[in-house]
Amino acid sequence: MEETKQKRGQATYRTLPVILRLMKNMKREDPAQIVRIVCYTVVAGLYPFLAVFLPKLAIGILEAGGADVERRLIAAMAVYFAAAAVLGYAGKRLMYILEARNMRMRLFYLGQMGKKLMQMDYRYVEDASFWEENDRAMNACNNNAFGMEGMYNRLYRIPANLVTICGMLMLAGGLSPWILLALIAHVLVMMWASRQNHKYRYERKEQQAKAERRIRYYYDTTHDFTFGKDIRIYNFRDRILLNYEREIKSLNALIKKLAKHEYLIGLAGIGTLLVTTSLMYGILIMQTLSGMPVSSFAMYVSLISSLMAAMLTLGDDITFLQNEGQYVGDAFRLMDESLQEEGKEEITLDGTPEIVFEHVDFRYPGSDTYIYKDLNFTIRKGERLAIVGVNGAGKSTLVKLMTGLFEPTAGNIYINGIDIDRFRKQDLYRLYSAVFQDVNVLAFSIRENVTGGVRADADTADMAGSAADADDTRVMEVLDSVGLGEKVRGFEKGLDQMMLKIIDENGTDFSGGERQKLSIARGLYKDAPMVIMDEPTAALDALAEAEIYENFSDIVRGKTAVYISHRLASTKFCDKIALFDRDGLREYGSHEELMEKKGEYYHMFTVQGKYYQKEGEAV
Amino acid sequence: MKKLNSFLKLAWQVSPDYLLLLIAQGVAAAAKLWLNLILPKFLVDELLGDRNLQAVLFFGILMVANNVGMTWLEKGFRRFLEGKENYLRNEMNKKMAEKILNLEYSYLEDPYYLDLKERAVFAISNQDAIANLVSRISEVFGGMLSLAGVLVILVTLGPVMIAVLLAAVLAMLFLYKSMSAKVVEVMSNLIPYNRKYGYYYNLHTEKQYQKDIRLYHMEDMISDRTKAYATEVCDHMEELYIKEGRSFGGVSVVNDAVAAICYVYVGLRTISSRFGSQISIGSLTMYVSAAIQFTGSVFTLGEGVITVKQVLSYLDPYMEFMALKEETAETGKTPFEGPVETVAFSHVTFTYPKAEKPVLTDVSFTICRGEKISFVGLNGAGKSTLVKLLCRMYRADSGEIKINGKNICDYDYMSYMKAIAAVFQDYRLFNFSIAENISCQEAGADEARIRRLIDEVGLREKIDGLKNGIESRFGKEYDEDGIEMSGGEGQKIAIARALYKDASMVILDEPASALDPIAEAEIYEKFNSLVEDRTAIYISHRMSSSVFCDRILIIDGGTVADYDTHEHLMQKTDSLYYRLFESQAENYRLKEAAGR
Repeated sequence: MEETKQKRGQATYRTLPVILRLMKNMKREDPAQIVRIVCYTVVAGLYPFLAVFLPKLAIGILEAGGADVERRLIAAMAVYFAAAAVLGYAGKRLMYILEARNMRMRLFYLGQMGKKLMQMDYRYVEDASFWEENDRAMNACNNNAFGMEGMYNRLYRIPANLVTICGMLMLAGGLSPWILLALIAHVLVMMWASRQNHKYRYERKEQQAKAERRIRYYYDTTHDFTFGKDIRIYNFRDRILLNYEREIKSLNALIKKLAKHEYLIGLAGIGTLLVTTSLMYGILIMQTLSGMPVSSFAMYVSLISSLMAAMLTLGDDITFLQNEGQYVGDAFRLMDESLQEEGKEEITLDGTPEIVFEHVDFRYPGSDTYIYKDLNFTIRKGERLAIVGVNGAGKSTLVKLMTGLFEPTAGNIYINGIDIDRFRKQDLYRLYSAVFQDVNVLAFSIRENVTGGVRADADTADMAGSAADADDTRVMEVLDSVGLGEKVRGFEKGLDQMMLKIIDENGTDFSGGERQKLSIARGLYKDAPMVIMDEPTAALDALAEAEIYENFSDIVRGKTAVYISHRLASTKFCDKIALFDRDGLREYGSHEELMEKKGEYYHMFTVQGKYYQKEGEAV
Repeated sequence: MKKLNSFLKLAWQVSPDYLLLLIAQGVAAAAKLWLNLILPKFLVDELLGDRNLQAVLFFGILMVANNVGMTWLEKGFRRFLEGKENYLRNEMNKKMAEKILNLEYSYLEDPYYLDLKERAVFAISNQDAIANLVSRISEVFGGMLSLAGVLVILVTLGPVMIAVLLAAVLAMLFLYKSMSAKVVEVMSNLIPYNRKYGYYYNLHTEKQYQKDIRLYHMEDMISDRTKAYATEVCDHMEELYIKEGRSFGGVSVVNDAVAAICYVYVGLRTISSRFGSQISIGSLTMYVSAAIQFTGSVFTLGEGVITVKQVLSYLDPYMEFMALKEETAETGKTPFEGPVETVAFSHVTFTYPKAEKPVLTDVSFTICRGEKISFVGLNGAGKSTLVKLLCRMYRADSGEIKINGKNICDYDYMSYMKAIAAVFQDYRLFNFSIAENISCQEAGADEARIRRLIDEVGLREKIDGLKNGIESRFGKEYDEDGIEMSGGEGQKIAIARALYKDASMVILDEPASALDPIAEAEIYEKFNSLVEDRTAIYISHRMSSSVFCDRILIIDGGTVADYDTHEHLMQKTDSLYYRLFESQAENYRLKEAAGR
């Protein structure tokens, strides 16, 4: 944890540069938006003045009286209406177009952030603190009201508001400066209160996140139907509900505290509001009593309320930008940061790899327990290696290290003599076809599930018709060779059949064995120089298991292969066996050698095979 | 209206003070508005008339008091509302959780209900429907109050103004109607897109997919699809925004027209009594503000009603879910007593809800007290289904399952559940302490027994190494110090849990799939002593495990293919059991192995 924090640095992005960057991106991605903002500034900046002048205009005409007062009143109101209708309508239209476009701008960031998350080094994926720290930053691209879109929606209206405020301040020039001073003080106090409130909450955000996470746990546990059986059989229901309620209450206590703080801070604003309104009415009333026309009184009252509203909005927008800028700044930092530590060389291997572990130490980031200490071990070129061992011996970790998902804490790993550090991650990933115990079928078409959206014989996604056909033939070939061809041909849409029901209600779902076959087809299609199988048969029946074993020989022909399993039968089709225990590599050799040795492997094999022996053959 | 009613009832159950507070808030807002219309009239009249300093100051102070006092009150309301709103949201989620826990289990495996739950959850979490709905309802309520107050003022002006306003309301209704049609259309179009977008966006961050994404270079496929749906969502939203811009632009024009007409009409009334009784300039400001306020209130009211209607339609899945039938509602009355003497399936046929073919057909067999039975068959043969039927998670279509001679459904549910312990292949542990996960009790557990079981399943070393021993909590998401266990270790805890439970029948469905060979063998060898004299059912793909059992039930294609001892079954060399056993056994034959 500490290391990752240090590596990722904690540079803070200030509000102004964040705003400039937002605007620069907007100018580049959607320049028309800038023009719209200028138009909006004029239209929406002027509109409020009409409402301010209206009472003065009308009452002024009435106060003045005269013969054609009726005609003048009607004419004035007609002019007012024409101006207000045009400005009001145009303002609303522009506003909604602006906001629609701002929503689109968010997609631009969403794409960047998404790629970043899927390409960053895998160790961050397993680092809970990384997700916790960056939760709000990631959500900055994924929310209408906050984050980037929220900031854009405030930014566009600030210039118009400034126009309004400047104009109104000029109009209010004739007014007692005390009123204006009180007004400004009020707005500043409100901004201060809002900022204080934000800070107070920001400081407690982890506490709140923790309380929310705990509620979330009970929410998830209850909403996840797969917990249903155990909850019923072991009668966990009441306990869970009780704890759920307890956690809700404890979050509520925190929120009450936050709200109380906000309320108390807000009392300062009530005080300044009292001063401001008292001054306003007091001074205006006195002035009217000493001769100012009532029409001016009405105008000033409406002027000051409009000014106050405009200034409060501005203050609110500014604090919003400051507060939200923090999260958007975090998002920008995340996007800018290098979350991929990798070599710079473009390396293409000749033939199938040989992997050498040399004095490798490894512990997971944030953990003190070493999985390996000084591991030395080689997977030879073209060899089929079975890795066996007790639970917790770090068999799967080995896969994470050689695929570059994690880096060794110390020591080196060489692939065909080249230090793994020198590889670019994408080149490294390209080396492996991996099949895991947990098969993740995605809600994409069967074709996409097999190809991963990547065409093996073309780098671009769009291919000309014939190339696409040729590729489909290959997809069918691999499906045939794992025994899924029949099933896929049975679908009306063939390879275009969607998987899972979550997206497409006509989607299909496979049984456990079929899913495993699909994932093997994925590995076959990729045709990488090295094959890794990590417990692919744990949930399968004996016949399906045997089928997978048969497939294995097909996939690995001419390749280096690693097969991890608790089922020692898998050693039958492997050349070498590496047995790991909690202290690392314990035994290494061929099945015969290890059986001869009568060590741990022999023990395991006989223990597992004990009850498979025919009578009289028992060991 | 009915929907609204049942929703409000639900909300009232959860947090009556929240609703009361919202009502109070609505009243206060309407009062503030009303006073702000009335008070200036008196002030202006006084300024234009007697100019009595005392009276002027009195009204001035009232205005200040109204504005400041009401703002203060608002802040006070907001202080309590934030907590209450949060509480309501969480409690509504909890209500649903409660529902899920009480549902008949069969719902939980039915894709329709899984989908229904997803839809319900989506509306609640993504649209924040509940909080949104409640606050909108209070807005509508407040809007109606202010509208009534404003109307009281305007009626005193006579029919002309009412007619003008009526015309304005009609114009606004027209604008609303076309917009609301659009809102409903777009929003209903949007829900599926939003869900799809949500699914693909989650692929970016969900841990389980990340290895595959990196190794199979799926990031382009996923991000393209996510963007495509996001664009789709934006397209729909933009359509709506543009329509809204037009409509709200139109509303703004209507508002301005009302203001202009109002000034003309009321202005004329101040000049002479040609159009009705003459009124003061102070009244002019009041009437004009009231008219503007009137259209404003109609506006919020209209908006509120549309949103309430819309959000209520989002809540359909939630309400549908909350109305599902609960399990405990239909249980037998006879308490289950004493140990399980016999388990008898007679002619049981069972079809999963909405499935076309039965998964079990005419299954009959009997298990006697203390027997160890193994269920064997291919993936999907129906082994786990037998277990689910036995656990009363489903009911047979026809035939009967009897324990001690009585249909299991006639027993009282809770007492029946006490008689069964099970380890499922997808067993789950909870973020409680290890001890609680085993004993399923918060307090009063038999600690010596827990320790003995931990010893027997082979976890002693692991647990002694933990700082808090058996009091260690599972799960990092709950507690920073929470511990994680590997699949194998977790399985051992689940086994200990099943054995702790004082049940006379134990079911073990693939209990050792994640265990290493040594641990697996230990568990199997100890099973007989572990389960003691309890009746036991095993399901395993490790064929060697059936060697221990008294009898083996072979399920093939949904029927009982055989029910016999291991020795007898192995003599039938053309049977499924023989094939299954041999396919694994041949890899372990030492003679052949030596010849490789």
